[in-house]
Amino acid sequence: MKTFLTLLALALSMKSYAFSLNNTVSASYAQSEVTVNVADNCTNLGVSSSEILSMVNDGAAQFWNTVPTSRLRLRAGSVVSVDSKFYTEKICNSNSGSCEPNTNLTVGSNVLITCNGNTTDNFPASQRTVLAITIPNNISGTTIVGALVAINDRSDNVFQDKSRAQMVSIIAHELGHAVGLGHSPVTDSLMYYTLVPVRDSLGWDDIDGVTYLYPKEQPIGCGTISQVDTKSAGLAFLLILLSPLVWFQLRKLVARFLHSAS
Amino acid sequence: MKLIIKLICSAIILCCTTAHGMGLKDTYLGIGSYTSLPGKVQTDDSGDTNGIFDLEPYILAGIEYQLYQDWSAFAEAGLVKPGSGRDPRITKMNYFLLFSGAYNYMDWVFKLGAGLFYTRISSEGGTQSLNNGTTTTDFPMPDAAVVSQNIITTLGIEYYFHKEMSAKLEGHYFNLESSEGNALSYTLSVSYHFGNIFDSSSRKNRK
Repeated sequence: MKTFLTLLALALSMKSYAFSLNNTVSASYAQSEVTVNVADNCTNLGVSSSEILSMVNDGAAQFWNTVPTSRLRLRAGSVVSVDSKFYTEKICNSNSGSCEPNTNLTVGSNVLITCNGNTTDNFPASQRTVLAITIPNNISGTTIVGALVAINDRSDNVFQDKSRAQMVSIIAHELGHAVGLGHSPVTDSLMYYTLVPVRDSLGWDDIDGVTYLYPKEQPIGCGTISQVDTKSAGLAFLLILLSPLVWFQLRKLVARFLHSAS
Repeated sequence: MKLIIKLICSAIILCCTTAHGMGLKDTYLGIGSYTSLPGKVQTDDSGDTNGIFDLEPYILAGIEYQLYQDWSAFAEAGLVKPGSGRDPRITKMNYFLLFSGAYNYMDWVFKLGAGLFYTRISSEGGTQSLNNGTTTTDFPMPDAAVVSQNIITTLGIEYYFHKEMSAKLEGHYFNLESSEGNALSYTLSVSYHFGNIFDSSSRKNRK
């Protein structure tokens, strides 16, 4: 017993790791599978729309679809034709603090990746290095219905200079915004605001963020974020922990009762 | 009336002890380390990942129920030490309930089972000012607690190095039924065994 208590004291003195989490909006898609379509309007990216769609597939498989504690699964959809306004119009009507979405560009469902060459409002010369603007622009309450990813398609955009692996991580980062995540303060996170030298997998912050917005609900789930009463959850866990002891005590009492009755 | 009560109680007892030797065999408490998703999580900007020995302290409590000869069933609960730090307003906690069948061979126990794994993430809200393009933006923080629930498959091996103590290695496999989101985590633990705490005449059964 003394050895056991010594080990207990050692364990409790060990350092535990930490994480942080943030959301651009406290909203998420109701469905677990979110389809990502790509518009066929890119001219300056140096890659075709079908290649971007292939990157969506790779980014989903390499990053977001790997999280065991999240129900979110991103699916590459198809290359689609969209109205020219998705290329020319501004993404936000106003951008003082938060973006007020341009309703002309509302995405009806899922995620749409489009190129945007608006060099007046979205990607002026001062924003040349901005790779993309992403906003869930169709939200009902706390449910995202549709989201828009607008890739900077200026002729001097910096997206075209990136390697394919970097493009995949850029698109995966933007898809993180599309499904409701904000930026992360830590460099090991895909949702860090800028590219890092090597990006091979998600960081803890990404995993915790997508788990928070899309918690796994096995064996059954109702498809929404399950916000819980923390006091009742703790009590329930304690009861489950103690239930075997209660069960065997009851058995013992019943046996005694039967013995005395006979 | 007395007869009905006796019949009901007899049925309950019968359900629980249908064969000779069945019943509570052991209760135990333990401590150990939980390693989550080893090698799968990026930990810096140069692409390094978490190690296979990333130790998070956890405590466990369980019971062993004798089934038949060398076969038994285990029910166990574990709680990983809650973590916070980069932002103290956020807390993450993992806990799990495991149910396994086991075969006892001398001082070894081989376990196979399933369980429920819970991940609880909570925060008190507020905002965080972070870089966003060429400016900074205040990003909202979570303002609620969310619990993710996974079914896991478990495989474990336990060794009794003392009549009252054992060491255990157990793997937790996530999403066995799916081709996506598969992951393996594992625990290393040491347990202290009390035997059948409801029967003072029972002796420790191993060593």
